[in-house]
Amino acid sequence: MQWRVILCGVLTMVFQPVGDANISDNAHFKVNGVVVVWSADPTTGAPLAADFIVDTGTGSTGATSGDTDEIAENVTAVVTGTLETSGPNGSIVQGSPMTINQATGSNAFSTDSNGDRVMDANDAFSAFGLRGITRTGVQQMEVQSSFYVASSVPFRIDTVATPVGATTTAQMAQMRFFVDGVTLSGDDGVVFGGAAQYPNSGGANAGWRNNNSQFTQLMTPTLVFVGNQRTAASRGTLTDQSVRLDFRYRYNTGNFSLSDGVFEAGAEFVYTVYIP
Amino acid sequence: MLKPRLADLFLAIAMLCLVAAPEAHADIIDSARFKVDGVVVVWAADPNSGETIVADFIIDTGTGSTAATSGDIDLIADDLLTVVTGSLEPADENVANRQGSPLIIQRPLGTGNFNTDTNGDGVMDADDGFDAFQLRGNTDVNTRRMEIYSSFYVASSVPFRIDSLATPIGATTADQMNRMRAYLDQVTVSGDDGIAFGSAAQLPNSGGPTSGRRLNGRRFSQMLTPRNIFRGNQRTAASRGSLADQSVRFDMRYRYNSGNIDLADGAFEAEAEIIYTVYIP
Repeated sequence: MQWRVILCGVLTMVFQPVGDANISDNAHFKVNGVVVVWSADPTTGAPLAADFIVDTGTGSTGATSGDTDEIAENVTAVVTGTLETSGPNGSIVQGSPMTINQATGSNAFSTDSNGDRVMDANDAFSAFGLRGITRTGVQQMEVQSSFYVASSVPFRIDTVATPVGATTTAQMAQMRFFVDGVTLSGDDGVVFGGAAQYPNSGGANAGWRNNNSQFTQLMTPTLVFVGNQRTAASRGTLTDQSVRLDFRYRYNTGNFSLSDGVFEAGAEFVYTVYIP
Repeated sequence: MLKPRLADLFLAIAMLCLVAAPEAHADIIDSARFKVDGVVVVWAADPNSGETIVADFIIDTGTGSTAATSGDIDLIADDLLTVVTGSLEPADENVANRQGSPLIIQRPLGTGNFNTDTNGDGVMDADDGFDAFQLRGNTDVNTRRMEIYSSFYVASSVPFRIDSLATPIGATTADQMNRMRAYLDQVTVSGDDGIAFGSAAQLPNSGGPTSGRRLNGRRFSQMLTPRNIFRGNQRTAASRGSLADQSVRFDMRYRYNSGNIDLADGAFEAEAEIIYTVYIP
């Protein structure tokens, strides 16, 4: 009789549905990687952040990164060293002012007398003396543009070039893309970079890919920059933690004379900043 | 369970003594004994359905002064998961990117500060979106305060205590455990978070909603072994009513460091499981 009582007691203990009186909570803090891209408002010229990229994916290209841009608008590049928008029209007309070389009694001078990179009705200059070697041409047809980046993580940039208007494939092949590098700090109307570091630890010219490519080589998305560290080096404001990425576009050798006639060629470059 | 058995034993011994007594009396001895053990019921929401669920039902079967030694029994094998404070949204570990980390845009030109978590779900992700914003020299991007709020509900017939234990998850470092702090903000005596609670309740510490807290704001690194965070001195059930009527809400808060994280701090993740154990001393 006694062993049955003990057995019942043991079985009761075994099958009793007891548990620990625990409440489980989860403190989970996560700060996603962020890249903020800014330049200037095309309308007002004021500094404007128009790309706010959050690292919500892991893809290794701009197309597959899975990242989120919280801002629907896109950044428009500015003319390097200014907050002047380098919009579609500006991209076409920049870089083409003619230069008068070897005129009698004067040094070479640009027909773009007001320095706005466009030879138009706003320019004027004095009559100049001719001699046999006096030439009128375009010494270097180049467009320089930039945008600014502040990041909490390393990032990459892909680019794709698309011809604009009547630009031909031959002209796309005549145009080349250059990376001038990263400018760490400066004052282009807004001071930037006081708390920044290069996005590639190798320096201003490190991490660039496909420099000096023909536009025809960039007609599908192509990697042009690989960073390996964030731009934010220390605590600071958004502009403090920003660097400037400088690009340059050149038409052929750039040395054109009157015999080349008139022409127009342009391409839109779309840069996609992403966090791999 | 032990006390009734001893009583029975003493009764049996007494009866044996009576049996062994040389003189018999025509006595009949009976015992009518009633006992209601202290009970604490803890509830929150089902992580799967979001419906209210009771998952801890604690009976006062011991007398220890810590959770580990209390000797109490929880009649429900499941453990409870907390909810996001003020809601019945489960705050479980399956929520990949919990509250507390959205970035704030501070001092943009022409607009006030705004949160990048535009839909207010506590996460900065693809479901958010905002307009381009104008910059000036002092425009900043940072997390002003990284905080997580969670709660659970308690109904009790006796005073109770709560111990807590923090365990790092994943790659969370000792330094990060040192940067995170736990707060018991208060006990909310009544409200409606999708279910009304507290209409027949009183605060579990008679001193008020913030009384009975112990070492509030403790670092997670100081909670790697069980620590007492609350001591009650009265039951929550103030008058007759339903379980929800007699319940109060415990409001917890977790903070990462000062919370002021900017781009220079990079991207990071820190996570810990906090286990609260309710017991009757």
